[in-house]
Amino acid sequence: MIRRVGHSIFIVAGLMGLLFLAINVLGDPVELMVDEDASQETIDALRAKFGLDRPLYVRFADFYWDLARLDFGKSLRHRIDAQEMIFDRLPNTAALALVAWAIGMTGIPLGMLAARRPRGLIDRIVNILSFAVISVPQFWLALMLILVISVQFDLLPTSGYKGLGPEGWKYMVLPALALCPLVMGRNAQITRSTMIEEIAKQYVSTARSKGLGETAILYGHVLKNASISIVTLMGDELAGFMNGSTVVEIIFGWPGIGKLLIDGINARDLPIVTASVFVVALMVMVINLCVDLLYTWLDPRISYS
Amino acid sequence: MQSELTTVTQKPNPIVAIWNNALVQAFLNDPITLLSALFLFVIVMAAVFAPVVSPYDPQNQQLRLRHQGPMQTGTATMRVDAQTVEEQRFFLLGTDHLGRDYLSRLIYGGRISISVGLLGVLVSSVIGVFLGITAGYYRGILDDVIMRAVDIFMSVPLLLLALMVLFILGPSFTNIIIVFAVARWMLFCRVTRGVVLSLREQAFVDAARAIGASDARIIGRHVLPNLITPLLTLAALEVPRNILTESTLSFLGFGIQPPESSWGLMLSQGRDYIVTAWWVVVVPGTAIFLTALSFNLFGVWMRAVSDPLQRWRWLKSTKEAKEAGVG
Repeated sequence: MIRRVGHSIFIVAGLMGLLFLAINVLGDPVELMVDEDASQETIDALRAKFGLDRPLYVRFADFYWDLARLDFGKSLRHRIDAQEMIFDRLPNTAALALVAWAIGMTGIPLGMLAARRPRGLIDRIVNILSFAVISVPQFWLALMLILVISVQFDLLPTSGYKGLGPEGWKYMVLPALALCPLVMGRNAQITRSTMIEEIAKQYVSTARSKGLGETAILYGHVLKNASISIVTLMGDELAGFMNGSTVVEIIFGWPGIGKLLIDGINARDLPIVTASVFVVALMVMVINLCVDLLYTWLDPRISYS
Repeated sequence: MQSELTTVTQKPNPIVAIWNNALVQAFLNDPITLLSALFLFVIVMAAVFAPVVSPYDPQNQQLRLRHQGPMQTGTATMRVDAQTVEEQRFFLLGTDHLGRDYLSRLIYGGRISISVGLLGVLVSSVIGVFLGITAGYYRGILDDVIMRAVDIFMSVPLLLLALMVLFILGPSFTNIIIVFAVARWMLFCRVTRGVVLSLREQAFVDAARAIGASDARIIGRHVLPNLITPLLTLAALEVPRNILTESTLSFLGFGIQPPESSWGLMLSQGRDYIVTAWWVVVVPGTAIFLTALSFNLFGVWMRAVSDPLQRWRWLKSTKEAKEAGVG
C-alpha cells in the first residue's frame, strides 16, 4: 500500500515537474504572464519580483517546496492567495461531480437489464442509447439544455450560482443533467459487457445445474464478480469529472476548479494555473487510490502489501 | 449457380466471392452498421471534395443576410471587377452571424474536424505501435520503462494534459495533433505490446527465427500483419474521441483559431446567438454527434466480428435472420 501511495505521489510530482520544465525551459514564464506589447521594464520588473532571475535549479527546488506547503503564491489578477481561491472553488466542483455521478449510477441497472437477454430488444435499445449518449459533445448537450429548458420553457435559470444550499439547487440541475448522460452510458456499457462475459463462465452453469434461480445467479454471483470492473469504471468516472466538468462549468458559469483553470489560462495567471493543475491531479490520484483500496475489499486475492 | 455446374475450372468471379463472404454479408445485413458506414462515407467524401460540393464560399460574408434561417433564399451582392454582381442564394442550413452560408462552413469545418480526428489517431498509433513492439518484442529494461510511462500517462486526465500542452505551445492545428500524440499513444502501446507478447511465443515465430530471419523481418512479416485488426478497431473507437476532444478544445478557445473553422469552433461562435438563431448551435452539434456515433458504432461492430466468440454470435444471427426471411 505504501508503495502504491509512493507511486501516486511520484506521478503527481512528475506531472508538476513537467509543467514547471515546460513553462520555464520551453517557454518563458514572464512571457506567459504579460501581454505581447509589454515594455522591457515591465518584463524585467516582473522577473525580479518573482525571483525568475535566480538559477533554474534553485527555482525548481523552490517550486516543489511551495507545492509541498500548498503555497502557490498570490493570483496575479485577483491579488488573493491562489490557495484560498482553490479551496473556495473545490467544494463546488466536488458537489457538481458527486450529483452527476450519482445520477449516472442509473446506468448500472440498465446494463444489467440489457445483459439478461443479449441481442434482445431491451439490449438493442440500451446499446444504441448508450452509444448515442457517449457520442454527444457535453458542451453541446449543455447548450441544448439551455435552449430547450431555460429559453423555450423558462423552467430553470440559464446559468449562475447561488451557493450550495437550498437556494442554489436550481442552478445545479442543468449542469448535472449535462454531465450525467456520458457516465450513464459508460456504466450501462461496461455493466452489460462484463455481465455477458461473466454469464458465459463455468460457475454459472454449475450454479444453474444445482438448481439456483436465474435471479439468484445474476445478483448473487454474476454481479458480485462483475463489480470489480464496474467499480474501476466508477472511480475513473469520478476522477474524470474533476477535469471533465470544465466545459460545463464554463457554460453554466459554475465557479468550480475547471472554470478557475480556464480563466487562469486566459488571464495568464500562472499561480492559479499551477494551483489548479496540482489540485486536479491530486484529486485524481486520491480517487484512484480509493479505487485500489476498494479492490482489495471486493477481491481478497488482490493485495498491495 | 449454373456456372458452377458447367465450368469447374473457371475462377469464381472476385466480386461475387467478396459479396458471398460471411463478413460482408453480416455487414450488409446489419442496418445500423451499414447506415453508420454510409454516413461516414458521405461525410469523408464531403470533406475531401469540399471545394466541389460546398455551394458557396464559406468565407464570403453577406452582412445583410446574417442569421437567415434554414431553407431560405437571399440575394447576395459581390464586387467582381469593380462591378456589383448580384447572386440568388439558397441557404439549406441558414447563415451565421456574418451572413456566411452555414452548409458550406459545415463542410469546410468537417474537413478540419475529421482530419484532426484521423491524423491524431495516425500519429498516436505510430508512436504507440513503435513503443509497444519495442516493449513486447525486446522486453527487458526497455519494457519496464515504457510500461511505467504508460501507467503515468494513463493516470493524467486528458483535458488537463491537453490544456497544459496548448497553454505552453499555443493553440493551432499542429499543436492539437501534438496533444493527441502525447496524450493518446498509451492505448495503442498497450494493445500492441499485448499482441506482440503472445505472438513471440508462437511456433511460427520460432520457426522464422530458426531459419535465420532477422528481427526486422519477423516484425514486418509476422508481427505487424497480426496487429492490423486490433489496431484498426481501436483506431475506429479513438477517432470519435479525438473529434469530441478537438471540438471541446476549440469551443474553449484553445483549439482551431479563426479564420479556420471546425465544428467545435462553429459551436463556440454560435453560442452567443443561441436565443435568436437556434440552427447555428444545433447544426454543428448534430454533425459532431452523428459522426462520433457512426465511428463508435462501426468500431464496435469491428470489435465484435474480430472477436471469435462474438463473431460467431453475429454471423449466426444474420444467418437466422436470413432464414426467417427478414434479411
